[in-house]
Amino acid sequence: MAMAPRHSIDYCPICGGGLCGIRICGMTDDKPHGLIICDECEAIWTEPDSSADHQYPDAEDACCPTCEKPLWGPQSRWATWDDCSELGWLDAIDPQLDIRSDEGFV
Amino acid sequence: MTETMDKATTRRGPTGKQTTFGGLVLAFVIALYTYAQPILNERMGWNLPALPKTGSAEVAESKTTTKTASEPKPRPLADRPVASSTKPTIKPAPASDLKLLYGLLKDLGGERYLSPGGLLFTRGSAEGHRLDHLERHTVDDPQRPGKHGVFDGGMEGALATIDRAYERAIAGAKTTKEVEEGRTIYTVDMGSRVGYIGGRDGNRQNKPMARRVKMVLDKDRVITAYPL
Repeated sequence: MAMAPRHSIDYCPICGGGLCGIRICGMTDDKPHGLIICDECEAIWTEPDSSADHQYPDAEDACCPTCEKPLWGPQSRWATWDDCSELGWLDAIDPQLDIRSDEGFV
Repeated sequence: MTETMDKATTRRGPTGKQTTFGGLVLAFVIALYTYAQPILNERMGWNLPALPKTGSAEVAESKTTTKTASEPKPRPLADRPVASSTKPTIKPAPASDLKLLYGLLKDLGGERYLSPGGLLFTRGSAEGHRLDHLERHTVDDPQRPGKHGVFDGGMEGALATIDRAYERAIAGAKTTKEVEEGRTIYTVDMGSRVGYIGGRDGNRQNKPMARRVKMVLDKDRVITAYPL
């Protein structure tokens, strides 16, 4: 099962090897919000701009900086195209970094 | 009769001398090869075949085997790891360490594992555990956008390489280090191949070899590590 982000905005400027993937959180309580997370070093941005300030979650108990629920919990996932549209982040997507639609997702 | 023998000796003399000399040379070469073959295989990483054993040699070996039955048997040559810069050196776990995860990691309980070099692998990452994340870097992901570093040697090889990289990083050997907000990012030049670059970009470039290791640590906890 592929664990890479479906849509990303850039390569990670921190570790260089990760993808700054778009993740949607808060899906179960109707308060969806977006995060940019490096899928290698776990640097987090709360806006779709990897040049902005970033933060790191706790190494063993990672939580969303916005809602403080588990970062990788069932209320969040790598954002689909529709999720990105709902977040208003479509313009931030770098299509070159998309996982292709036939590749399977988280 | 004597004359006949003399004639025969004279007739066979030169040929007989050549045969004797050739036989000596052959025997010397065989002896030299027999002596040098295991040493060359061991030191040079070659795979020279052993000469067929004679019955007496088998008996001699049988006696030796009996004498040293309590010692670990050497593996057949074909099973020995070929010395090569493409594979990390993995020390086999002693018999007392058979419970070590991947032959290296000590289970501290609570899904925390400690490497011989002092690195911790704990819960975390999208995969649920850092070891599960690391496992992604033991196989290629050809469809992954960009590059995807893949360690040689599976999980055992990856863990051994990461420990060696950590050792070099601590010593400051060919290492760049960045520290920010509790995370330490090491880029360590290992001096020889530790894996290759896969992913979409790596596959486009025919999977070039990787000789550096990128490690992201939170104190002594591994967040991620991969070849580049």
